[in-house]
Amino acid sequence: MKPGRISFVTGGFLVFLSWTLLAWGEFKINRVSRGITIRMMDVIPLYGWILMIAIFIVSFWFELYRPKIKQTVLLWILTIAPALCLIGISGFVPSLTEFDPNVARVSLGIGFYLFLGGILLMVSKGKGGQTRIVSTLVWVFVALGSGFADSLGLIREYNNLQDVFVRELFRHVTLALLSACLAILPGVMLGYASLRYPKAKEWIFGFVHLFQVAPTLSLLALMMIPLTALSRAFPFLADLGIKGIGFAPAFIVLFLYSLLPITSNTYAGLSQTDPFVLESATALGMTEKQKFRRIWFPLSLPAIFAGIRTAMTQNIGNTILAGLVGGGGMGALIFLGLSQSALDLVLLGTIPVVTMALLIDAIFAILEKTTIKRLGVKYDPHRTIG
Amino acid sequence: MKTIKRMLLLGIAMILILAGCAKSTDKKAVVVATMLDSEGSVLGQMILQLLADNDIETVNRLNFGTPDILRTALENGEVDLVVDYTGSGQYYHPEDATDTTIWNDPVKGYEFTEKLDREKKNIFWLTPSSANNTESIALKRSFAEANDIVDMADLAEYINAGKPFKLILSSKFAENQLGLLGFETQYGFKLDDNQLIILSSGNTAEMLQALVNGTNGVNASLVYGTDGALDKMDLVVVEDPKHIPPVYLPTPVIRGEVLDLYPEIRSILKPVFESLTLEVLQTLNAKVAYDGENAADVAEAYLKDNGFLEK
Repeated sequence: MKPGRISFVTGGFLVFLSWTLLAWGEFKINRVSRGITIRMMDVIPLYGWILMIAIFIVSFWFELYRPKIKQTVLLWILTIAPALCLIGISGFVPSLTEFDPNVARVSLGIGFYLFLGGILLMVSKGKGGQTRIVSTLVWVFVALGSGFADSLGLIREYNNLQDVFVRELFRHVTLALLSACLAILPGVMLGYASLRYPKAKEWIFGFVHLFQVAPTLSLLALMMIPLTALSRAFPFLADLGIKGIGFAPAFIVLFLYSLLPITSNTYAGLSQTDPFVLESATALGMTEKQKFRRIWFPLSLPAIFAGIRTAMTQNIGNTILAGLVGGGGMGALIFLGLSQSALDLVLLGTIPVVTMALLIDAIFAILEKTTIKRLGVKYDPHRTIG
Repeated sequence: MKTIKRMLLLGIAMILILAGCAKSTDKKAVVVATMLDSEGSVLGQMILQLLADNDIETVNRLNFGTPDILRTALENGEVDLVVDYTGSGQYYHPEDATDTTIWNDPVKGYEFTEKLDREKKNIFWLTPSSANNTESIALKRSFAEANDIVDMADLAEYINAGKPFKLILSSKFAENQLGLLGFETQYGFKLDDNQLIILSSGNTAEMLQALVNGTNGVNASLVYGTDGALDKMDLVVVEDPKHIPPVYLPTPVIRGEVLDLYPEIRSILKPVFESLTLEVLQTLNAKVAYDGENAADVAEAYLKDNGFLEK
């Protein structure tokens, strides 16, 4: 079987499973109570069912028996299905229970997520698969923002906390990216130093690994003590915002965390440069400096980029913990949600983090490609770590 | 090489921006911070709105973090004005809090914490609310009625009869003489380890949910006095006639330097906190935690309805 077909059939199976077995959502008469399970039949009217099953069967029939006929149109139709289902679920109203329409809300269940995943797998098949995946997600976001899905718990939480959300999102991005950016230069330098001075290598790697193995939260707590002492001893530091709590400790911890991927990738990239190339450079009479600038560095750039990419993505996730020490970010929403056991609020904090991590990963993939192209480096995946 | 230079420049620019941001914050603005819970959101919003109404500039750091983080931040001057609970004094001044009997008395506990904080840390406790956010044990109403449990003595009798009992609680409460241990000695019962589910955090939302859903056979939970959802979740509190756990009155707490700058804060907050009785706080908390209303709106409506803010 072709990989495209595998993903199509697996996706179809997931969709089928989500239709028949699983809860698509929960209708809650308030924020924390246990809800009424919403199944697929509660949401989609009969003609919708018939239409969906028809599309489903037809696309499968095409897939299995008429693989040569283009089914792109069908796949494009499928991209809008999750968005429509979302609106359908959000409009669910139980028949018997009394409730306050301003308070009651719907939380999405495992069935919906499985359905979304299945559809994504199905539409990823064939040419233009990536565009279809993106457009499926765009449709979902459009549905969320359209006003038709306002009774979703997620949207209710968002409408409640709009300004906080925007503020914390901004803070999250700043904290995560700024700390990783600042770690690039020292990270690369440490990687280079550990190659140049093999004796120092153990120390350097020990140093950067030390932070990686210490749990983030305990490191944040440990950071508070010296920083507090520092800001007390030098009040001008406190004026700069360097205090034992809040932005500074979170920033420093994230900075230290970004060092390891950058340093180790730089080291790996540099150390795997073809010795013959270096020898030729020496033979051409290049100085150490020239060799580094013209040969070593460009050749190991893919590996270094991969390190930076890892650092950035990892930082986006780690920044959540800043919410516990007053550093803000999406963690503030997540922990507030946990403390009130409001899972929609937790989700509202989590979804942007995941989206950001994926986005940054994608942006860096593109950036990596273009930079390497511009530098004229031939990328050899067998030689570099990435 | 160009890329490196650019990155370097970018990095330096960012540092400068960061430094600029830090410096540009007005030193006179009062940084208001609260704990990560619904009550913190409501009381914090009230304080923010009242100060704004009196033309005092504020910085909103509500839902700042866990209680210990908030306290550290206050001591370090990272935040200026917080909402804290009188009974917490036992953790802030453990070396002086040898007499554990004072914590059961709202006035004595407040006076003790207030005096030590003022003298040792230059931190001032303003007028507290009368709502006691103390720890109690909650049961399902149906369960309590079926077994005739009204106060702790009834509960002790039930437990000693060997009937099924499982309590979910925080580690801080479980290991405290002014908590579960005190209950056990004072009312004469003893729970063994498999009758307890101990969580590391003091987050009662989780516990109450476990109680309501009967997760893992839980039929009793730790609860705080001002938790709003009790009534709506059909839960009852087991009465504690001997008042074992400390009294926790929500109180605005402010750093001395800031209070010197704005002495009027004392009189601005006083009438509002005096008006916050247990029932009032329960209702307000329920609106936020249970109905999912915006804390700012809930606070504003309360202040306006009671004439603390002009409509």
